[in-house]
Amino acid sequence: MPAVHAAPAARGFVCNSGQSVPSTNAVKADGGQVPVIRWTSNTFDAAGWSPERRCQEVSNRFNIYLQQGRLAYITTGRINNLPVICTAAKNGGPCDGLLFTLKPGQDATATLQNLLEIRVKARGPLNESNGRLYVSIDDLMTSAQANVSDVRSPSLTDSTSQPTSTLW
Amino acid sequence: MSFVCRVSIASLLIVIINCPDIASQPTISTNNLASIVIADSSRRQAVTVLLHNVNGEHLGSGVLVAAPAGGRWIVSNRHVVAGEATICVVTAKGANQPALVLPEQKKSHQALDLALIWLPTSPPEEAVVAEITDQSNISEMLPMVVATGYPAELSSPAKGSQYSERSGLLVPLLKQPLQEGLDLAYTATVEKGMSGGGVFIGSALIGINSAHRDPLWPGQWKDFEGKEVEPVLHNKLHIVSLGLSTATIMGAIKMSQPPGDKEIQQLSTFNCRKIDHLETKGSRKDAHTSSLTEKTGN
Repeated sequence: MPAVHAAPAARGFVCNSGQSVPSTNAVKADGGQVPVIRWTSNTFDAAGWSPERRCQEVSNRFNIYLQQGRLAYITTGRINNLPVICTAAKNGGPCDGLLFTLKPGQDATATLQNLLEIRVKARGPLNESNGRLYVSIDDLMTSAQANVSDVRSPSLTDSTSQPTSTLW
Repeated sequence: MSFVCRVSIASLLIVIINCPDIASQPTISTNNLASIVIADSSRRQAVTVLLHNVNGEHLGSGVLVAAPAGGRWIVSNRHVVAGEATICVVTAKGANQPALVLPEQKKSHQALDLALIWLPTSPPEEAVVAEITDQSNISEMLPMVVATGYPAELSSPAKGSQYSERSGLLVPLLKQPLQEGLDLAYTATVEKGMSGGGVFIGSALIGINSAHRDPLWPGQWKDFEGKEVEPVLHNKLHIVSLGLSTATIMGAIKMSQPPGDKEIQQLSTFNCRKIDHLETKGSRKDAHTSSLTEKTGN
């Protein structure tokens, strides 16, 4: 039996680049914003992916998946031999929508656990880049150039600003 | 019981007028009732602590629950202190001290969302700990509860944290614990940063916060065995906050031993005082409680 989901608190996701560190924020119905991922690393600037750009790209994906009702099942997977965090159509199902990519060898399960905790757990935000989620997601990001033709990513079809060969 | 009785302690007068149980007790005057409410709030605040790491990240909240020889037990959530072996504890009086996080405990095949924290203290410091009660001792059908903690400033950088109280009802929604042992459901609005804060009836602790209502995006709730809950319950869980009961908490403490001298000595090199932006800043009550405070201040 498919799960029947109540309306989520978030009505969308935005990239808030107005502060010193850009962040992907969930926007609640009351207009309040909850940071989900803070983008601190400049590691990928040389590849054309500044923190602001990564923030925009992944926020856009979160936002589209939310509107499409595809965030109910988030899982881990591998695409082009890289670990990824992605959406699935059902519990235990395969990846069908890329959220972001991790570096080779990184623990996708732990990253997923952290992401799911942000969904509902009432812990405080993380403000520094010393290894706990949020930022650790960012630290795990890779700028690997890869073909993502096997993944239905909204950025590939809905965003005209991103090269389709870049996997995030 | 009327709506006002169930959800509002904003106005003592309204409560007394609309709640026959209270109004019919001639021995409790308005002033005395106000004093009781204030005393309860003070006790709740005295045992609720703010937790941060050495870098000043606001991790969440905790509650002082026991004071055996040599220190105090603080309880919080595993998800609050995950990855931390040593943290800083800021008490209601503003003391900022290092404490040790005990390694994760297992129950059945799934870990509880519970963390035990040892705060070494030197005598003759007064031991302020929560009065503990068990859900099984609660005879009222839908008792009013107060969730406490330190909501996080979501701006960056954080500007500070205020103690906060949110009132609501304890609801008998869970016949079996959920994933990570969550077995308390209540309508008080818990915010990010209040994880690990207390859930009280009066001044008696019945549990700690873990999850807030209104998840940010859809997901699945699972039971303690890891199976997805039924859709009807799943949807109800979206509109309540969830926590761990004192029965679960105290059971874990009974099975635990304070850290050894060697581990405690490591705290001497841990400097919490260099963090000042997360110092507690007085207290903030929700609409119900603040209205009550205004009235009692007259």
